[in-house]
Amino acid sequence: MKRLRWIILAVLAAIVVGAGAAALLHQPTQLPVIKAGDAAPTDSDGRPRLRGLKYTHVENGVRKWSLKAEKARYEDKKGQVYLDQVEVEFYQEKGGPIYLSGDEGIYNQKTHTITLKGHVDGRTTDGNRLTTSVITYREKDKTADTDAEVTIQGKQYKVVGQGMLVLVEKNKVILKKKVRSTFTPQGDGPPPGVMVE
Amino acid sequence: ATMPMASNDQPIHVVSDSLEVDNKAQVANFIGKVKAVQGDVKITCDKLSVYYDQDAKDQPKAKGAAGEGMLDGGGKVRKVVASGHVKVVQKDRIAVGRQATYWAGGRKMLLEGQATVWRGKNQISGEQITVFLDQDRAVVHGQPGKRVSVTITPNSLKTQEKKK
Repeated sequence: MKRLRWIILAVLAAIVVGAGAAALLHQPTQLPVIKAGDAAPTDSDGRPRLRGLKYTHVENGVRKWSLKAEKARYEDKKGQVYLDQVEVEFYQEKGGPIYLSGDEGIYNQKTHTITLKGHVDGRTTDGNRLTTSVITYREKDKTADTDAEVTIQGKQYKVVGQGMLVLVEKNKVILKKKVRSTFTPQGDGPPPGVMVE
Repeated sequence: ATMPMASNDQPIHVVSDSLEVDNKAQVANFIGKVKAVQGDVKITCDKLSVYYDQDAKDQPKAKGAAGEGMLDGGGKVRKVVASGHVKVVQKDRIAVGRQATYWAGGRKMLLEGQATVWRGKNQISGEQITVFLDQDRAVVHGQPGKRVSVTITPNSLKTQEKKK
């Protein structure tokens, strides 16, 4: 697989999610300034809900990532934020942006975890892609974890597995079970002298 | 006919229990009941380590530069090492050893550790054997103090002559 780019994508997916969580964690308690569309004060169930949420995270004047959601709802008792149709865009210093989306994002302020559910789809501009149905990022131990099937692919490789654990700080990715992979090696043979010519 | 030396190899298909990728060490380890197939070559083993690196031109400028290693462009799979109960089957050839190393684009494999290659009833054994995947050839590396053994069954020579 061409440098197993999918490894980077898998770790990035976690970082993008993690970054999202970290930013939500460390910023002041109230939600960020939101450029809302037609922000209806309440929804049919009477609970406060925001529409057209968009948040861009900037550090030292540099845009790091942005998060968009169609709807956001905060549940005080559980300390959870529910985001519908979530899209996160992660801006790298080198290389194009990385996109991560999911039908639903749940951020738990108590357990410091963020879960993306439903058609979770991570993409880079040079063709790498990660898809699964659910992934959870734990800020505490900086891991991203799922027991669902995960597919990661790029131009020269594809790998499928059941369950994935990403150890963000160790820069490691583990596909837990039932791994199937196809990749194409690229090279010019063994170094001289290692084998009989 | 010998296949042209392609820098782009044939794809390798792998099935295993699990996969661990260490992006810092730039190695992906397929672990547990590993089966790997490339063209007519089949390998079974306990662990398959896939080493990848970056082209010189893709190297990030400074060590530890943001994005170096994790976020930057792609790299290439250079070497694949099978270890633990390694068995390689290619048509009527069977090879076993403790470890087998394949370098991308090389179309030959280095078998090590009580290595043995059979073809029909003929057999060669030694500590290191180079197996040529596109030729009907395997060469035992001579090593000081290490025995090389070759067994050739005459009948098989005769039957081959009859076939001609």
